[in-house]
Amino acid sequence: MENDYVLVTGASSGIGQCIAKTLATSYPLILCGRSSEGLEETRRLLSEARGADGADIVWQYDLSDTMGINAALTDLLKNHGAKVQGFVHAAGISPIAPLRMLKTDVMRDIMNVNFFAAAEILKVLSHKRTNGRTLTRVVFISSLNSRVGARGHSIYCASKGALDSFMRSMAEELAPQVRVNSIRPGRIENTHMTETGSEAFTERPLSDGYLLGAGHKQDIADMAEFLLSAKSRWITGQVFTVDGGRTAH
Amino acid sequence: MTATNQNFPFRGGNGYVLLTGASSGIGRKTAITLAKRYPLILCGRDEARLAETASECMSQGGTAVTWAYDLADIDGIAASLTDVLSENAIERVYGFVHSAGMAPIAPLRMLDTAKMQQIMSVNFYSAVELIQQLLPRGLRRAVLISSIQSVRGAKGQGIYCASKGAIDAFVEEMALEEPELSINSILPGAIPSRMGKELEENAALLAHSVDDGYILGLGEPGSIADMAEYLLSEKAAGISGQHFSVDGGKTSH
Repeated sequence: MENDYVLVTGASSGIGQCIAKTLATSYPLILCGRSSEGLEETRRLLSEARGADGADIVWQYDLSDTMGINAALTDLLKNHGAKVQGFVHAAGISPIAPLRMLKTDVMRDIMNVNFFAAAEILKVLSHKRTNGRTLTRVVFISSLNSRVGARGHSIYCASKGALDSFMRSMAEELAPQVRVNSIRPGRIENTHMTETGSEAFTERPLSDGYLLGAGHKQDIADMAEFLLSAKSRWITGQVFTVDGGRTAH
Repeated sequence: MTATNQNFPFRGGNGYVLLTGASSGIGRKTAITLAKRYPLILCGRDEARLAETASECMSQGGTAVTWAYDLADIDGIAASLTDVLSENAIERVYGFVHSAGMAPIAPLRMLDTAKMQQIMSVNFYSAVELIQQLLPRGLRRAVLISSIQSVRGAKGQGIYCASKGAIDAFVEEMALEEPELSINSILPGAIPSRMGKELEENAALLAHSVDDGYILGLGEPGSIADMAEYLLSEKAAGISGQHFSVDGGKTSH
């Protein structure tokens, strides 16, 4: 159990990286990301947090290639003799793409990385021959934008809506063995949603309505840590909004 | 009443409503309901059943063009739609009702990648492609048939639920992005239909009996068609980005 891994996607930057850092002292991690530089940086942060090198596994993979996920992850687990107890899907892309200019391939890429990758990975991790019955907790990083539109990001919003709805189904399907929940962050400083310049598409500043100011990656990582811990043992199929009060009013 | 309907902005060859999933169930019933008011483009996979819907629409005094197409092939939608519109000299499409959907019951571990993508293509991607094509052709109203399962999980239907969740979130964003477009979704509860029958046959997989919690009993396609008609009408001009549950009280408690 103590040697069982937590798999974090999107671990090479942003919220995913912060989650990996936060989990470092509790679990060995499988770090999934596209950028090998970013993944190396994450590895460095983990060693710092632990004060020692860990048994982490780096899985450099572009999740937009959903066809290959099953084989790649199955091989990775086999080669390392690793079992996965927890899964955090933090990978996400959010290119600005107003519908009138949207290309079909861009639509597919967004849905593949943000949603389908989570489904494909969950399928592998709940496969008995590959992972036994080791998997017990799953956390999806959704977005406030699954419930509040963000102009120019229709497919991003849709991908997060898909994730939320899928989460509820999986909570029912995989119970009681696996608990499945999602987190809906509001606007978080220094993450890809704030870097896309989507401000240009809205009539009001994106910071409007945040009673507690803008959020930090750590606010999301702390919630993810809670949802992976035994403290949340009676929670499944729920969405946790962490948004500084943005949707309270 | 129909011939001089003031609520109908582009009468006669100009103000079509395009319906997907028109060959059966909710889509067919919606087509027949709308036929008295709007000329229709009926999209469905099964040509014979589509022709049946068209003839029922015509028996209501309506106009119906059929477009037999499998929406799972999203890359071909733009070209095929353009052909149908030009063959029939249709320039303006006023409304869009997306009722096409597939809901195979299968636990996640039994779904392969291709099947997952197919469900998303038919249920969600095709609507995105069609709205993109229709916006420059004067689209003013869009009604997307979602499901209460976008907010209530269902065992063995993860990707179906996800596709409906995608629809709901997309609707909210499009309402912001296209202020000229009134776009909403309807979340039907369980409606006995061809799709519903498949569900019942696989009921062993479900955690609850199909009619559990339906205060008003199970629904029928007509209740969804009536809501769709309302959302297409002038009465609903000020409504956009909303989700309407039509579910006999299932999600009220």
